[in-house]
Amino acid sequence: MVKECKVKLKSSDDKIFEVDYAVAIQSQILNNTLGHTGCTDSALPLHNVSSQILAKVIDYCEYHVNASSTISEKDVKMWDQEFVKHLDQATLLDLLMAAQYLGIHNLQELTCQTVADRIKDKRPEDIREIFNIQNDLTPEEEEEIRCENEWAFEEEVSP
Amino acid sequence: MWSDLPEHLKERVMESLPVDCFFRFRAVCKIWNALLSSEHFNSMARNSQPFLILCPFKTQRPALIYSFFTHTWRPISLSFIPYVCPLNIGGSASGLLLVDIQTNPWFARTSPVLYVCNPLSKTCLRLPGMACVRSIMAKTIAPVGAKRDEYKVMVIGRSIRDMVFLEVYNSASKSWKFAGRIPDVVIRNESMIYSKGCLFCMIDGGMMAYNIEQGITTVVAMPTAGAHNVWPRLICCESRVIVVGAIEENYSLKGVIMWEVVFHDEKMKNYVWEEIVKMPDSLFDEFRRCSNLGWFQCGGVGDKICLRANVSTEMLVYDVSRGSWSRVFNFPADLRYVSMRYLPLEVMPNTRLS
Repeated sequence: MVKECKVKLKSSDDKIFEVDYAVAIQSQILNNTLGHTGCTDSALPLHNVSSQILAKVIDYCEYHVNASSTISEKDVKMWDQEFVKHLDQATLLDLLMAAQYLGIHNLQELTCQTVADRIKDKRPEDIREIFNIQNDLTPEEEEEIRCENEWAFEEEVSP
Repeated sequence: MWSDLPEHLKERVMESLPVDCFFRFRAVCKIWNALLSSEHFNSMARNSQPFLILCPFKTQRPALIYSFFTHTWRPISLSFIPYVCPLNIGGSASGLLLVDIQTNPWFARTSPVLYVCNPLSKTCLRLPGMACVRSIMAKTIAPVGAKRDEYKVMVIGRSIRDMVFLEVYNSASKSWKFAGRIPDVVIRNESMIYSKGCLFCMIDGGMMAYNIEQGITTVVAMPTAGAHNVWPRLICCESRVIVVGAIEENYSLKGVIMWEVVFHDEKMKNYVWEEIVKMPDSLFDEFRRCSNLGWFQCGGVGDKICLRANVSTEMLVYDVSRGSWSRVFNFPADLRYVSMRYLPLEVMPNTRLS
């Protein structure tokens, strides 16, 4: 039974977003909540999601509502790639946390894989810079790791 | 901010990284080192698609590894193996290479020396001398058990009295055992494969299949392709015995077909070659153009078969489980003409040989 009602969502910075029921229930958390309360007029507070991020989440969910039935898998993948393409690192991580908090499995997978894909070619020092991680290894410890796993640090052979 | 992420999400991101990164990123910080060295990540590495390792034939060059995750080629030095003459690498299993370091004819009178080595951890182990075999005709290494943490080495060779024996070394017992008398046939080249209790090697007239437990030998005729000649190469892919056949006519390559042998009975008398795939025309034309006199190199890696025409910088990969072809464009040009053995290298973290 597809409900026709609208669902109101309130971001952490008190902005209200209105979405279709079908869009909202892509979030497992909202699905569970709405299952108990039904459609109400009051906005569901999402304390951990800012309006900037919530807008993006809604974009994603609105596309994916119809995706499984009407759009080919290949086109969906392309849309997903476009969706994440221009997002900066900070937004990507916030989106990952929001997807996890809201229980939107495929968005969580997408953002997770995107973060991983962006760092996979980097060197350890680049990783530290990107994620603001302090290097707490002593020079000896770091040297030992590099030595033990020498093959992984080798420069790739150019064609 | 990365630091705001809950631990399990950080771990999820790391799990989505290619296996190569599990090792390189250990150098980021203490926490990453601990996490990426944990059994969880080691287990993921062990169960992932093996690398392709290209081992040079009898030269002192470094080997080359290809990662299917990052699509990169990396050199890997084998200089940690103590050798006096060029290495002869006879096979791989569970991330270990079997190395024969006495192929120099000047040393023919002394016993062969075999090493098992892990190129990723740069450790090696010299195997004890064999009981009967004095000159090796064929050798291979295979994993033992589901955990693949044990291995066995099988050698066919001649004794002092010129009889041909099979000896098997087991890593658990650390000793060689006589495992049967083998018919005295000419083994075409040294590469032998092991699958489901049987050894297979190319001989004149076809393929010799030896059932170790029963001590039964069968000669299996090669698959045919109409009136054309088939120049076979024997490879193993996920325990399947596969012949990669160059279909030849007047020294010109007409096609490439891969077959798998399927035995219908335990004595291996009833068998049939089932065609797995024929290289499609769209890929074959370029392949043929780049193979001098029909030569190409190939090997089985995990569930994939890799083929490279000997002048080409393109490697073709056939995924046996999916039935699909892909192309790897960036084979290093200066290594095109070097003869290499194509072997799988499973990623076995922390396997140190002592």
